[in-house]
Amino acid sequence: MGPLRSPAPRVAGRLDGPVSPPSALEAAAAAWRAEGVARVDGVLPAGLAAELLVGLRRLPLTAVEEDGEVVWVYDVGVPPERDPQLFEPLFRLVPLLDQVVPRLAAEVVGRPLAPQAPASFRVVAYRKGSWSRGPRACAPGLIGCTLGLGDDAWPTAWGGQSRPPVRGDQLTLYDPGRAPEVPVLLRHVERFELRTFLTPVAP
Amino acid sequence: MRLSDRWRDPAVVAEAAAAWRARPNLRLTDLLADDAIAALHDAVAALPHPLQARAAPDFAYQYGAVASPPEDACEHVWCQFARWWWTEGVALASAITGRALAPPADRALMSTRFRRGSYLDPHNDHDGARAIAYVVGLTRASWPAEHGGQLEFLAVEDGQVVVTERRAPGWNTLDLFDVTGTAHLHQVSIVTADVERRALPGWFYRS
Repeated sequence: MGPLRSPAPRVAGRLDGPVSPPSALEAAAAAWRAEGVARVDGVLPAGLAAELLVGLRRLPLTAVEEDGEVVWVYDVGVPPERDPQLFEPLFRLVPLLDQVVPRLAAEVVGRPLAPQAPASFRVVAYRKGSWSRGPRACAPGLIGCTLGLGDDAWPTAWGGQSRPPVRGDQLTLYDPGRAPEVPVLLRHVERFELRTFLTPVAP
Repeated sequence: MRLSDRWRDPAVVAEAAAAWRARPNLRLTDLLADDAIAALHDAVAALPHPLQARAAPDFAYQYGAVASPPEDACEHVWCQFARWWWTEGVALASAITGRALAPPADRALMSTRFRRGSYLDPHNDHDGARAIAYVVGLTRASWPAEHGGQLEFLAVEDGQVVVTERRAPGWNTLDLFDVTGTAHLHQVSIVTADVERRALPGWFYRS
């Protein structure tokens, strides 16, 4: 699957987010049916991932040990009203997470979906010692969404990446029970992801 | 709480003291009586060990840990062992090392749990007050060194950090090593498998 930035019709008349062409979504849907995991490239407008990284790298992340993973996290809630004092890229991200991603995901998994917790997401960082077999603590029936930030790359033997690796600006949809395994990260490198969950809704 | 018969024998202690004088870095085996080490393990395993972690570029580590001093009238095995450790344990370590040792001022005993992803980066423990580092081994299982959790002593040779000695997690063991200088670099290698290393690490201080 190559870069999927064009054509880029607007969504709901107000977002600049690109939308993947039908062929890419069909391929993702096939992968979902076969593996419970699907990847869609080019979800964010050009540059937004890099902007987000500037702010999210500075968050006071906490290492958490949960059933199935050890990662560094920070839970972000974005206020409904635009506050010029807050990190502006967040206000461009939230409509994508709450509108574009559920619509893309619905096309991939074949049923209507909505954000489990609108206007919020978890920043997840993999640092030395981090690993994951998926966020198993989530409620049954949810669809996991991971949005890669940045293209930090290192040798596969260092761990900390699923196969294929999560790339910057790539959306990974997964059944939490079949999440791609991330081996223990052995070295002092780090990468960031955003994590949300989608819940099925009535058509 | 009591030592095994072996370590109640003055001749065995004298032999360990001679080994310490030759090289101040030892592993003692069969430290406690069988029922004592089993009770200690079970009591420690029942305690929550919240994750402790710090990332580079600071001194970095990741492991579960709990620490607290013994309460005077408490009959929990943790408190029983801690009271014993800060008296009889200090006496044994003093006899072996030939140094007048003391517990930490807060008398806090620490337990650590290393699981998948846990590690402790290279460090020398030196703070000017610590004299001897100890590790009481509470790990029954064994596994290949490449799965991590090994206590590794390090040296810098030709600009490269090399492992000079590697000790697997132990059961009923006591590691003692000198930390009065800055040269005693060591680490715990990162755990890459679903194994569990349990230990009581800490320091004896100059009396």
